Parts: sequence; structure tokens; C-alpha cells
Amino acid sequence: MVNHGMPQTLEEALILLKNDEYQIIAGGTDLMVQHRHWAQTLPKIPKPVLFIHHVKELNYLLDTPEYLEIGATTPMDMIMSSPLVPKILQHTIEEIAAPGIRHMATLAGNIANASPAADGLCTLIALSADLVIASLDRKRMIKVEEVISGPKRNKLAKDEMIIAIRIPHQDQSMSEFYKVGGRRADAISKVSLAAVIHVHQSIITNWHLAFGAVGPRVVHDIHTDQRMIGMKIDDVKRQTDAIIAMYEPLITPIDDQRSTAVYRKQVALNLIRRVIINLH
Amino acid sequence: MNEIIFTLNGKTVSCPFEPTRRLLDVLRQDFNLIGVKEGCGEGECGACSILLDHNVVNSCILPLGNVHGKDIMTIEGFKTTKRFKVIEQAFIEMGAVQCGFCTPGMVMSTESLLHHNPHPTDQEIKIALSGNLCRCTGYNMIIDAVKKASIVGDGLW
Amino acid sequence: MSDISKSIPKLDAASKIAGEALYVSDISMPGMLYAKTVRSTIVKGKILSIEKPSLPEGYFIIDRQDIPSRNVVKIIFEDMPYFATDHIEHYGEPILLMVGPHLDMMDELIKKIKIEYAEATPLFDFKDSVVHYEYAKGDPKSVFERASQIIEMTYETGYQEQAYIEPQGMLAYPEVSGKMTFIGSIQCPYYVKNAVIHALGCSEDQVRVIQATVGGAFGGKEEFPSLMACQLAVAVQKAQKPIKLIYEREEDMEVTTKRHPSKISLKASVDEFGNVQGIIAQVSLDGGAYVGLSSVVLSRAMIAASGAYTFHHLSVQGDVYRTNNVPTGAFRGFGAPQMFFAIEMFMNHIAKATHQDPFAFRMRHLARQGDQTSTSGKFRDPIILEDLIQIATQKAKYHQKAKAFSLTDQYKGIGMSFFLHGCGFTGSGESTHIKATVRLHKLISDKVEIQVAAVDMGQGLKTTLPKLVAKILEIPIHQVIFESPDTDVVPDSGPTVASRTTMIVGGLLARAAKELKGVWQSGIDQVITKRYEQPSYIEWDEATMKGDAYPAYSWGVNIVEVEVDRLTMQVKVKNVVSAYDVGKAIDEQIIRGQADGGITQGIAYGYLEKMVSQKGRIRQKNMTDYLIPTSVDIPKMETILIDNPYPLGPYGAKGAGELTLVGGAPAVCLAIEMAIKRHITKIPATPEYLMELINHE
Ligand SMILES: Cc1cc2nc3c(=O)[nH]c(=O)nc-3n(C[C@@H](O)[C@@H](O)[C@H](O)COP(=O)(O)OP(=O)(O)OC[C@H]3O[C@@H](n4cnc5c(N)ncnc54)[C@H](O)[C@@H]3O)c2cc1C
Ligand code: FES
Ligand code: FES
Repeated sequence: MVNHGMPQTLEEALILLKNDEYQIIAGGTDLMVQHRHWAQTLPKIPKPVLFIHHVKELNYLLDTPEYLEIGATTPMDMIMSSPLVPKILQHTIEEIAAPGIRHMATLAGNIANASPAADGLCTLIALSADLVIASLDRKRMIKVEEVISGPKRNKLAKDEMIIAIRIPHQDQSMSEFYKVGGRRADAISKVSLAAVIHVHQSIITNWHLAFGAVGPRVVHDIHTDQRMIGMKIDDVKRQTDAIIAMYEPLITPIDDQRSTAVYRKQVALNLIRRVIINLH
Repeated sequence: MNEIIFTLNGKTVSCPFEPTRRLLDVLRQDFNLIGVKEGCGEGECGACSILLDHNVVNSCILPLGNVHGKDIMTIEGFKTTKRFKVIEQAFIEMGAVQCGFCTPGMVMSTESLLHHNPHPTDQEIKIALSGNLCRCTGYNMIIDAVKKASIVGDGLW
Repeated sequence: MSDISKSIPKLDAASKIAGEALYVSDISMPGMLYAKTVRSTIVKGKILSIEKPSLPEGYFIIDRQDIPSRNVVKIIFEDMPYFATDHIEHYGEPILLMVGPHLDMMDELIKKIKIEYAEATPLFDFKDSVVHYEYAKGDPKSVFERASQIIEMTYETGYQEQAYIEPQGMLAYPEVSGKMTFIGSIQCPYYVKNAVIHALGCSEDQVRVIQATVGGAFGGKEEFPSLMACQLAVAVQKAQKPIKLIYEREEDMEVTTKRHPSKISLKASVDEFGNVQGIIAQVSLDGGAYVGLSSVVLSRAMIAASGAYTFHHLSVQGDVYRTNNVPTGAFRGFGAPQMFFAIEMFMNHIAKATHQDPFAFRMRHLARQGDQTSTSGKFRDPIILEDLIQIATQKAKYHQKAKAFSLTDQYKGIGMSFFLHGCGFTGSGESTHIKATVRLHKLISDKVEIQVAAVDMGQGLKTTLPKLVAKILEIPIHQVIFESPDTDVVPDSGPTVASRTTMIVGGLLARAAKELKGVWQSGIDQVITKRYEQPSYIEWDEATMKGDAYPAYSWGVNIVEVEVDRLTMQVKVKNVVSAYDVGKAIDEQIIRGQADGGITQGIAYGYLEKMVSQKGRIRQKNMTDYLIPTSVDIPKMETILIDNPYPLGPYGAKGAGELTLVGGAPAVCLAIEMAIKRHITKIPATPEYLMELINHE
């Protein structure tokens, strides 16, 4: 059987991935929980594990004129406290789990885990972030949302890994993340909404809404968002109900142990109302 | 690689290469560090809190592979320090301990907080403790204790 | 002499802070084996066959065929087998224990066990009443005939999980003498001991039970550990080695006992002056698959039917229903939280329905000294509830806020609950069932050892009992020793439940200490033993539930302020003020700690903690899905204590442990009602439920 891998460099990691099939582990905050078994026994991870958390060259924040790049193993806590990071992402991370988790967890893991309730993923989608994905043979870039194929499923090839997240600089006069969890800290979202908006001279020039936990994946519909571009603030406010109605078909939540479909739907729509109320 | 090497409470230690093992089990079974508690095994309660390079982390979901080359501190290592004495005294004085199962974890989160932020506000304290569940105290007295430690221990952090 | 209430540092705090205190999972023994429980994967049905793998050397399977005596856990109602019989009555019922030295191998072996079932249709509705009680006071029938208005409401409460941070655990080992010793996370050493004696059919001196440091219990470690101990007893007999059984969190949440869900229907007859003349109450509890101690929970709930008020005419009926849900059991408050939620909401709802100011209406009905209790006993001692209300309302600015919030549409609210809690066992429990005995042992060194079976599970007994004894003996507290109980050493002073320990056990210790002081001879070994005697004026008739249900009552007022988000219906608790009469605090800081912790659980019961059973399976079975409050959810809380010494309690102390939980749910729900201007009749009042209320009215 293939052994677990502990590469020290990105290249080593990619070579290992090329040669064998691994389960990548970054902070482990999803995987270790998902595969946990009894205390004092090993988690039941079905594949050999590739440990990447200590690959130093992936632990960084880099600002360029076009985008902010975040290395795949940069812990959330570090991202949260960096002045380079857009406020909405900082606020989002503040609402994820608790300090102990944030010291280990990564955004790349949050994305790759592909939970519809993932908060980081939701905000990154609203921010139109890209992923830098690498295998030994090639490097490619795709939009964060395009890597998600379904609940807990991503489209990475076996030999690929996320090496960085790129958040394009963009005009955003109002960016907000509303998380509705079961309690005020350390709770998985029942519903969430990330809004990245820009208003220039009372006209909407940028508008992205991404919704968490209301469908099999984070919900983001570029076509619907686009219909907002060019609208005047006053018109948006006046047509609040119509705008909410426009998003309504996209919201298809379920009942589970954390909440109900009815509640999730209504709250998701109410959160759009909140965005519009706060719009300025 | 056939060993995982890290610093544990100030000493270099090595463990057989079982990188998916939970650090919590390694600490409790191999090193008999029983001050690290298991309350849930899923990152939710904070009873297993320890420090990794001075940052609080949940050892129940921390694979051993992720501590290679790191500095790990448990309550057993921390209790020999001056800062611990200050925190201990504050916890006793403010009545922050009931059943005590959450307490070592609370202490580690307190140290992690004060290390980065020696003069936290009440809200910052609450956030710092938000991953440490306590079912006994309703938190008020723990928050007071952390506040007290930050005042009495001024200059230590 | 300084006031007993003045706080001292807790004696057991330092070892807990340093991580040195030993909880059961921290204890290991040479040659120790582990045990894991194999449970039913169906809710109801019959076991057709069990196919067991052949076991390697050193591994054992223990099931009901190994039981030497009776396969039933000795609790009040003896119906719960500790290994499933042929018939499965709930999901996760224990079928067998796998025991061995290596967990991985045990896992492999467990996978090879094949259990075949024939499933049957489970019952979840309230249809199969297994306990029915009723009592009456006055002439309810005629006041209902004469009523100028009759108001009727039904209230429902959900499960609540104790969620102690330390999961259940027990270690058992054989001693060379042939005796078997148990070390556990337990509230009641003698319950465990008696259960094992019963299970093994052995003699008393063959079983020894020692309490490990307990990481929280809240009732959850009252009866359940007896089941684990019985299983382990049989296992140790077979394996003849130490065996440790520690529950995983999910296992603990899925199968151990929880607070009884309830349905409470209340009917009030109101006269032409807007006063309640009589109440008819029907209490239904979901006992789960086995009754256990549900009958006692039921009686406490029923006795609380008049809340903190006096109603002259009462008719109260109650049933425990057997269902195929997981068995329910003891949880701090023991039936009272359900009833206090119902009656406090009801009083408010009556006031609204009769267009009266709820505060004035409730004040008019308050119980007063000399009044007859719900069970036609007497409130003999002074009741200072009005003082508590006055000071709490002042501190919380209740009246100003209530007025402001009621008029406006700010989604803010303030709610207040009045409540009492009967201290000690219900009825004649103390004198007929428990018969507590305590002992003080003065050693030659002049150190004094407290010998009682009372367990410190965080509530501070390790400090308060020595403090009491030291104070009476006028010796330094460090001259008093109080080790965790070991049944080979301590007499049976009763279980650590029912807010009885300080008042009853502490009271007996105080008497023993006074006696010891009188006969104290330095350098000599002296032993003083004291037994509980019921105060002669207390009369209780079990059959009719008439008389003094409790020797004394503690009282309280909770005021909770909330803000509700109008778009998400999330509740934010903004402020909490409480005032209590616990007689006399033996240590003020410890009582404040109990108060903070109790009301946190009580409030969370009211608005946050949601656990439901779906077709017999608990849906919120881990700490991610069953949410208890974090540090960020709880505001600053203020607690006022007013002394009202109870003549028979030590220094006047009454019970305090459960009281502080009882009023939280109604207080928070009344606040939410004010904020959203809808009637709340169900807890937890989750945002999902509040949204429904907003949508449908
Ligand atoms: C108590 C608790 C509370 C939580 N609360 C929240 C919350 O409020 N909001 C929220 O969104 N999440 C929450 N989470 C989940 C959150 O911690 C994770 O989603 C985290 O972001 C995952 O990062 P990680 O590095 O730990 O991932 P890991 O567990 O290491 O990996 C997760 C997945 O990502 C894959 N992966 C990781 N890195 C890469 C890479 N570079 N390339 C390709 N694949 C990769 C892994 O193979 C795996 O499939 C919580 C978790 C816990 C335990
Ligand atoms: S045991 Fe690690 S967080 Fe609960
Ligand atoms: S003191 Fe018991 S859990 Fe915190």
C-alpha cells in the first residue's frame, strides 16, 4: 500500500500526486471530523493521506495590482488578521468556527470540501475569486464556483491540488456577509448571504449575491446578478419585492437537523431585503 | 520519513510515523498528558485545546502529521510558568471552575489570547473562548477571570 | 465570627485548573481492557438471531446470557434491561458488550457480528400510559361550573440534553478479595452499588463504588451509570480483568437519558373580578421505552402545577407514556422546568385574554406564607417572593422597559418568571426510601473526615461541606478532609440529586459537627453518626398526593431581556437579572456560579437547545447539531441573593442547584412574546418556530 505523504515542497507534493492517489489534508478540520472513529483509534480515511499544511511556499498572502493571492495552506486566522484582505472576507472568517479551528483551517480546504454551507466558499464566490490549480504537468485557473460539482464534491483531477486563491481587486462600496447560524458563535450556517456590490453615482455597477445552505451548492447566478447592473439605488429600493422575486427560484433549501426549508427560504429572501435596506 | 518529531512542552520528542493519528491520543496515551481532555472528538467543545506555536488548536482533530517540526504546549507544560500562576489565581479567585472538565482548555485559550492581545476587551475575551464550551458556569465568571488575569499579569504577556 | 456566606477559594479548583484532577477516562490500570457497546439498529422489533464471530484470546462478548441474576437496572420502576431482551424497544438499545485489549481488533470483530431482526411498528404517540397520577385541591368542579370565563391552552416542551462536557464513563475491576470495584463519573455511588448487587445477586460487601472527578452531570449521571455498571459487572466477572467503558460523544447523545418532552394542557376558571379560581391541569410526559424514574419526574411536574401562586381549587392529572423513543430521565429541575414554562406562560396568556395587566394579575395570585400548597400542605416558612420581585424589577428596570417595549415595534422584549423549587425528595422519599446517614470521623491527628456519599460534580460540595463542618467545629478548613466518596468508607447519605445535599446532608453534618464539638477530645479517634429524621409536622399521603410535598422551598425571580432580529427571528439575550431566596448561601460565590450556570441552561432550554426524535432516532446527536450556549451567547448576568434562613437547614440553607434552571425558559419566552407580539406555546422557541408564528397570525 502507498504510504502517507509528507512533502516539504510543492514540487514534491505534485510528484506524489502524479504517482499515486491521495487524500489531501490541509488543516484537517473537515477530514478529521468526517472520518473520525472511536477515541484512541485512527480516523478511517480510505486513501493514503498527503499532508500539505507545512508546505511553506503555499503559506502566504501576496498583493498585486490586479488581485490578492492567498496561498492554499495559509491558515484562516492569518488571513483574517491581514490588512490586505477585503473586509468582507475578514468578517466571514470571524464568523467561521472558533479560534482553535481558525488557526488550522484553510480556505482551500473550505472550498475543496464543497459544503453548501461553507462560509468562506460563499464569500469567495461573491468576490468572483479564482483558484490556481496545479498538477505536475500544468497549472490552470478557474472560478471558485466552477470547481464545485455538487454537495461535498469537487472537480479537481486526481493529480491536482489547489495552490492559491486569487481575489480580483474590484470596486465594492458595499460588501456584507450575513450569517444565520443556530447560535452567535461557532455554528454552521443555516443560511448565509454574501453580497459584493458597487454603487457609482447612485448606479449599481457591480452586484454579486451568493447564498449558502439553500441548495446543493452555494447559490450564485451571474445572469440574475447582471440584471441589477445599471439600476439606480432608488429604483432598487422601490422594486425590492420584484428583485426578491427574481432570486426566489434560485433558493431551493431542504429540511435537516439544523433548520427547515421554509425558514431557510424565507430568511434567504429576507437577507436580500436587508442588503437592499442597507444599500447606499 | 519514519518518525514525526516535534517539541512537546519544551522538549524534543519523536513518535512513530502514524501521521493520521489524533494528536489528542498521542498526548494522552503516549505521553500520559491527561490534562488534555476529550469532550467531543469533533472540534466543537475545546476540552482538548492545546497550543501549537502559541496558537490554540483542537488536538482531537489535529493529525499528528500536522505537528511535525512544531512547538506543542499542553497544560502540563504551561503550568510551570509565571503566566499560568496568574491565570490560575484569577480562575480560583473569580470562581471560574466548577466541574473543571473544560478548565484546562479554557486556560490554554486564555494563554493564546493574552499572548496575542494582552489587554483584551470583554468582547474579545468572549470571542477567544467561543470554541470552549462550558456547561457549568454560564461563562461570566470565566470571562471575569480572564479579565482579572490580564490586569494582574500586566507585563507578563 | 465571619458570615458563612463569605466566599473562600474552592478547595478543588487548583487541581482541576492544572489538569491534574482524575476523571474516569484519565485512569488506566495494568491489563485493562476496553468495552464497546453493540446496539440495536432498529427501533422496535424482535431479535431473530445473533451471529457472533469466534473470538481471539483475550476478547469477550458479554450479553444477557452471561447475566447471573436479574436483567433489569434497579431504578425506581424496574423495567429497563441492561442488555436487550429478545424485544427491542428503542433505537440504540444495548445488545452486547465487546471487550478486549485492542480497539481496532474490537472494531473488526464488531463488524463481523450479524444481528437479524424482525421489525415491528413503533409507537411514538402518547397512547400507552404506564404511570397515571392525579390529585385535587378544593372543589375544582364547582368553580368551573361557576366560572365567568374559562381559558384553555396547551403547551409543549422538547427534549433537553444534559450535555455535560465529560461523556459518561465507568471503570470496573476485580479485587483479589473477589470484590468488584467501580470507579465512575457518577452522581449516586449507592445507586450504582445497589444496582450491581441486584444485577449480580451478590452480597453487599462484594461491591465497592468510588466516585472519580465528575465532569458535569446535571441529572444525567443519576440513573444511567447504574446501567453501565451492571453491564461492566457481568463483563468483569467473565473476563476477570479491569474494563473501561467510555462513551463517545455521539453515543452519549443518542442513547443516554434526557429531559422528558411534555405536553401540558391547562384550563383556568376565572371569576368576574378577573381572578383565577381554579386550574385543571393535564401533564403528559414521554417516558421513552422504559419508565425508570419517570414517575418521580411526573410527580414533581404535577406538584408544580400552581407555579409560585396559590389557587384554591386544583385538579391535576398526569401520565407517563411509554413510547419507542430513547428513555428519558433525570435532568436538573426534574419535571419542574416543563411545568413552570407552562404555568408562567399561561398566567400571562390568561391576563391577556382577560384584558388585565399581566404583572398586576400575577402579583395578586402570588403564594403567601400560611397558604395551602398545591397538594394541600402548608407554606409554613416566610415567603419573600415580593421582596425578590421588587429588587429584581428595580435592577432590571423591568417596568420602564416593559412599558416601552410593549408599545413599540422594536422587536425588543423583557420577560419575568416567578418560581419555587421544593427542596429534597418529593413526599416522604427522604424518610421512606433514602434514610440518609452521615458520619464525621475525627482522627487521632485531630483532622476531621467527612464521610458522606455526596458527589461534587462541580456544584462545590468539596468546599461547602468542609466549610460548614470547619465553621461549626471552629477549626481551620484544612483540618477537614472530604475525599470523593468510596462506598467502602462512607455511609449511604443518599444520592446527589433533588437539591437535597446542602440542606439534608449538610444539615446532618452540621448536627454531627455540633455533637462532635461537645465531646471533642484532642488526640483521640472519634466517630459521630447522624441519621435523617423527618420533621414531625410533615405529613404526606403518597396515594392521594396530599400533604407537604417538600419540607422547604427555595424561591426565585428571573428577568430576561431580548432583542429579536425581525428578518431572521434570531433571539439575542441582552440582559439577565435574577433574585433568589435559597435560605442562606453557604458560600456566596458558589451560589452565584450555580445561578449563572443554571439560568444559562434554563434560558437555552427556552430558546436554543433543540433536540428532536424522528421515528425514534435523535436527530441532533453531536455538539455541532445540538447547540448549547457559547461565551458569546450569554450576556452579563446579575444575581441578587436575599437571606431567608430555613430553621432546619445548616445555617439556614435550603436547596439551590435546580432552582436556578427552572425559571429561565418562561422568562426568555415571555420576553420573546413581548418582542414579537405573539403567543409562545412551545419550547424551544427557535427562529423557525417564531417565523411560523409571525407568518400565521
Ligand atoms: C467545530 C467546527 C466548526 C466549523 N465551523 C465552520 C463554519 O462556521 N463555517 C465554515 O464554513 N466551516 C466551518 N467548519 C469547517 C471548516 O473548518 C473547514 O471547511 C475548513 O475550512 C477546511 O479547511 P482544512 O484546511 O481544515 O481542510 P481539510 O479538512 O484539511 O480538507 C478539507 C477538504 O479539502 C481538501 N483540500 C484541502 N486543501 C486542499 C488543496 N490545497 N487542494 C485540494 N484539495 C484540498 C481535502 O482533501 C478535503 O477534501 C467547521 C469545522 C469544525 C470542526
Ligand atoms: S474534544 Fe476536541 S473539541 Fe471537543
Ligand atoms: S466547569 Fe464544567 S464544563 Fe466548565
